[in-house]
Amino acid sequence: MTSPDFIATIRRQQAGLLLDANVLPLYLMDSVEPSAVFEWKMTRQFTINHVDLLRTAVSESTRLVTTPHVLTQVTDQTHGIPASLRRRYWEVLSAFIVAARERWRRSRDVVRDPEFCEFGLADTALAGLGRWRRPVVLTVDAALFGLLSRRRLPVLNLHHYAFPVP
Amino acid sequence: MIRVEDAVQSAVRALPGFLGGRSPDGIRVEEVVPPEGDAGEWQITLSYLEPGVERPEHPVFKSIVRRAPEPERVLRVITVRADSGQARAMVLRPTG
Repeated sequence: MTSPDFIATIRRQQAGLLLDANVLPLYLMDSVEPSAVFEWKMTRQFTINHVDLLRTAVSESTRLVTTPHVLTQVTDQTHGIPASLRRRYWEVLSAFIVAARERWRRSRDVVRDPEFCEFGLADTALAGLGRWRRPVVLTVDAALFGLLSRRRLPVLNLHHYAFPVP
Repeated sequence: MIRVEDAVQSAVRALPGFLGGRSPDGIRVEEVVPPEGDAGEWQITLSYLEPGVERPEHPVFKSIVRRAPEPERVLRVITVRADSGQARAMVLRPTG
C-alpha cells in the first residue's frame, strides 16, 4: 500500500529526506523495537501503514537530513519509553545524528520571517532552509504541512497516505 | 481504548452528519492527537475541498516539476471518545 505519488516525490528530491520531530521518533522506535511503536505515547497515533510508508521513504531517499531544532525536540520527547528500551533508543538516536546531514539557519535570521510568531523557531527554520538542495519534509503536523505547501516547498503528510479515505 | 484506525474511521463516517448530510469531496486525514488516558478523546483533524474547487496541475518548467499550490481546504477537528468510538463534536480549525 504505497502511493506512486509518495514514492515519486521522495525519489525526485535528490537533496534527501527530512523527518519532522513528530515522525523521527517513529523511525527511531521502529529501529529499536517495532512492537513498541503502538504502545509508546509518542508513536501510538501511527499504524502499520505509517511504518511501512516510512521504511519505504527512508529506503528510497538519497540521504537523511535533519536540523538542530528537530533534534532538540526529539531528544526532549523521550519520556515514557520502557526502561528496557531506553538505552537502545538513545544509541539509535546517536547513530542517526552521526549519520544524518545537519542543516540549519541562524535563529537571528529565522525570527525575521513574518510567520515566526505563529509557527515558532523549529517550523519557521524548516520553511527557511532555502530552495537550493532542499530536502522533502515528511510530517504529520497539519500546520507545518500548510506552511510549506503555501510556499510551494516539498512536503508530504504521512497521514494522507497511511489513512486513505475512499 | 479503541485503536487509531477505528477513531479515524469514526471521524470520517461522522463528518457528513456534522455537515447536515452533505458528503464533502477530497477528504483527507491531516492530524491525529491521541487521548491522554483510556477515557479521553482522540482528536482527528480532517480536511476537505469546498464545492467547486479544482486541484491545480503541477506546472513543468524544463523538466523540473514545481509543486502546485494546494487548493484551499476546510479543516475540521472531530473528537472521538476513546472508550466507545463515538464521534462527539466537531469544531472548525483555522487553516493558518
